[in-house]
Amino acid sequence: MNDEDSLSPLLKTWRHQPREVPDFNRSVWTRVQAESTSEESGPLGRLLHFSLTGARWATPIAASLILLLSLAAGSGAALAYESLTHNDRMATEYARSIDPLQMSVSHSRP
Amino acid sequence: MKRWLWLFCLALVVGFAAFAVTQRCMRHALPDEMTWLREEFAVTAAQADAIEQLNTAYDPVCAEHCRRIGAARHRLQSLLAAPNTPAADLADAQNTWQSLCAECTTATRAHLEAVAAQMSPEQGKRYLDLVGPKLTRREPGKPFGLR
Repeated sequence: MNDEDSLSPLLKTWRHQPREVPDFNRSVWTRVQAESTSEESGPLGRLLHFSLTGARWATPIAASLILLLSLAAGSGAALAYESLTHNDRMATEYARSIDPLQMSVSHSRP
Repeated sequence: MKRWLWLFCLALVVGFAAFAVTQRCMRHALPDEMTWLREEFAVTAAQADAIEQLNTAYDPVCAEHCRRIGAARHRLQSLLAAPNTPAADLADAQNTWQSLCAECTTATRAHLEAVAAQMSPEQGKRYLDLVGPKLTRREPGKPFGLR
C-alpha cells in the first residue's frame, strides 16, 4: 500500500527526454528510398509492379475486348453453322412441301 | 480472380446469345423453295418454267393425297381406339393405309425425278441425292404419323 502511494507521485514527475538523433529525417528517407529500390530491382518485383500498375487501365480494355471477341465468335459460329447446314435445311423444307405424308403429320400436330 | 470468373461467365452468355440471335435472323431469311432450286442447282429460266409447271400439276395430286391420308389416319385411329374392333375391319384399314402410303411415296418420288429431269444431269443427280433421302421412309406395317 505504501509502495503504491509513493510510486504514483514519482510517475507523475517522470518525463521522457529522448536523445536527439542528428539527421533523423534524412536517415528515414534514405531507408525508404533504399527499400523502394530493392523492391523494383528484382525481376519479380519489377514484374509485379508492372502488372499491378498496368492492370489499372488494362482491365477494362481487356474485359471489353473479351466481350467483343465472344460476341464475334458467337455470331461467326452461327454464320458458319448456318452456311454449312443451309442446303440440308432447304432440302428438308422442300421435301416437306412436296411429300404429302410429311405434310399430313405436320398438319395433324397440335 | 472472382472478377475474371464473372467476366468469363459473361463472355459465355454473350457468345451464346450472339449465336442464338444470329441463327434466328438467318433462319428468318431463308429463301423460298423455287429460289433455292434456281440458285443451288443453276436452273435456267426455261428449266425454272418447266419445274413450275410440274409443281402446278403436282399440287392437286399432293392435296388429294393429303386428304386421303387424313381420312385413312382418322379411320385407323378410330378403329384402334374402339374397344371391340373386328379384326377384319382393322386389317382392311391397315391395308388401305399401307397402299395409300405406297401410292404417295411413289407419286412424290416420281415428281422428284420429273423435276430432276429438267435439270442438267449432274445437277439433277445432286438434287436427287440431296432431297431424296429427306422424303418419308415408310417402315412396312407401321402406320406413319400415328401417335
